[in-house]
Amino acid sequence: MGLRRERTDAELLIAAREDAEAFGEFYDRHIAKVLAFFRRRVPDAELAMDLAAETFAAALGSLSSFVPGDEPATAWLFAIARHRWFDALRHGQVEDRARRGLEMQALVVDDHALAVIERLAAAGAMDLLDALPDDQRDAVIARHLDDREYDEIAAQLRCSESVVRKRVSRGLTSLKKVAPGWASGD
Amino acid sequence: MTDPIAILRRELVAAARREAARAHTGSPAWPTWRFARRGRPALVLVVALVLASGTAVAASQLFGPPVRAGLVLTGGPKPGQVVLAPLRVADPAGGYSWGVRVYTPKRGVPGDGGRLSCLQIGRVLDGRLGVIGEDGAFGNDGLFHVLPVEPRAGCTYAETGSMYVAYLPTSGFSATARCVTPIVGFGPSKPLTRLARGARACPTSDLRLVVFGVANPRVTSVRLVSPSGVRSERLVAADRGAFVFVLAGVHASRSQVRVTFGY
Repeated sequence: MGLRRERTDAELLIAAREDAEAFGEFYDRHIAKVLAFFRRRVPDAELAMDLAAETFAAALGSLSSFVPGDEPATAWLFAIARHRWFDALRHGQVEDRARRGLEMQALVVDDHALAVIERLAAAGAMDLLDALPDDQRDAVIARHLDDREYDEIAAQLRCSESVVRKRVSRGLTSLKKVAPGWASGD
Repeated sequence: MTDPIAILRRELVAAARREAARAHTGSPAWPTWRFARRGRPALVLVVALVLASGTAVAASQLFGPPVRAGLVLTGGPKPGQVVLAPLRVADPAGGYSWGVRVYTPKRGVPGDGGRLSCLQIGRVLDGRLGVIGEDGAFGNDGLFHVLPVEPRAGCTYAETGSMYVAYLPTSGFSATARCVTPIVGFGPSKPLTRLARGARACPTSDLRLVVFGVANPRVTSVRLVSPSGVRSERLVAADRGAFVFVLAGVHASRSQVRVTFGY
């Protein structure tokens, strides 16, 4: 019996036009990263969840316009996430137009739910970093998650400060290809 | 305990199925109930008949999209501090009961010891607070639209014994109604209409005079005197001090509505 190849993100999004479970699978792969994207930008987990929900609803509503190309499908998803984020900043509230259009029910978040969201957002941040080569990942974590200075990182890694800066820069560039805006402050 | 990740997944997959079904048939995936305001009691009657015949009616067929969430001015509720109070108040015309959501806001007044309570009024279905699609709301679809925490919460301190008195449309939420509700305090004359282009004043028959507030924990009963007469409510601990009276849209000035507390 042959092994079933895992579908790519683009294949899942195309299949989701007919197969609802395919969208569920796409959601499973990326909800943590999307949560992590928003959690870095908003003061609480509930807002992050609200934004993530609107992002996926907007993605579902835009499936017919998704066209596979050179950029990964996650770049499309994070472009939607960024638009939702900018809309929220502009209007002072999280829009729910996409969720209303899809007749989705409102989420009610309790203490346990908040803890679940926080854990997943933290895991999502690490998932993205795990995709980097080891030296870039270690450098990005040390600089942007641990807030350590370049000279301190260089001393620990026994390399020059300029090497550390290059690893951080390359790591952030790689992250931007997968999740534009994730690693920047915008 | 809730898993919001799984719940959101379920909602998205269900929505994806509906979208796929629409794409195939070009028509809504679910049968939709369409009732005008006057037909609202018929909605309840039809649901009862269908249930009696043994046909399962999916709860989702009674629900429309939720009310748009508004600006969370109080920072939203403190975790674990949101409750739909068990009290239910019958509407004068029947149909879904009125209820109240109570919560402690994150953003209170510095130094107040977190004693601020926020209230949201609405109709209740299936343990959820919401708005009925009538009076122009949601295109008069007759469906039930869940109300998220905020907008339009009223916040007060239990110790002050203060209360809110407002006209609401029968849908339960003035922001979504197409008619303009009057402001209490302008006597028995014609309802005051705000200068909104194309808006009309809600007819009295489509209005409810709602009196609500938060009593301090020592209060066991609340008594309302209004042009409609005298009413009383007994409070239970689970209501967290919230009280609600819903009267037919009688004209009343503020001085004609008085609440007293029993201990």
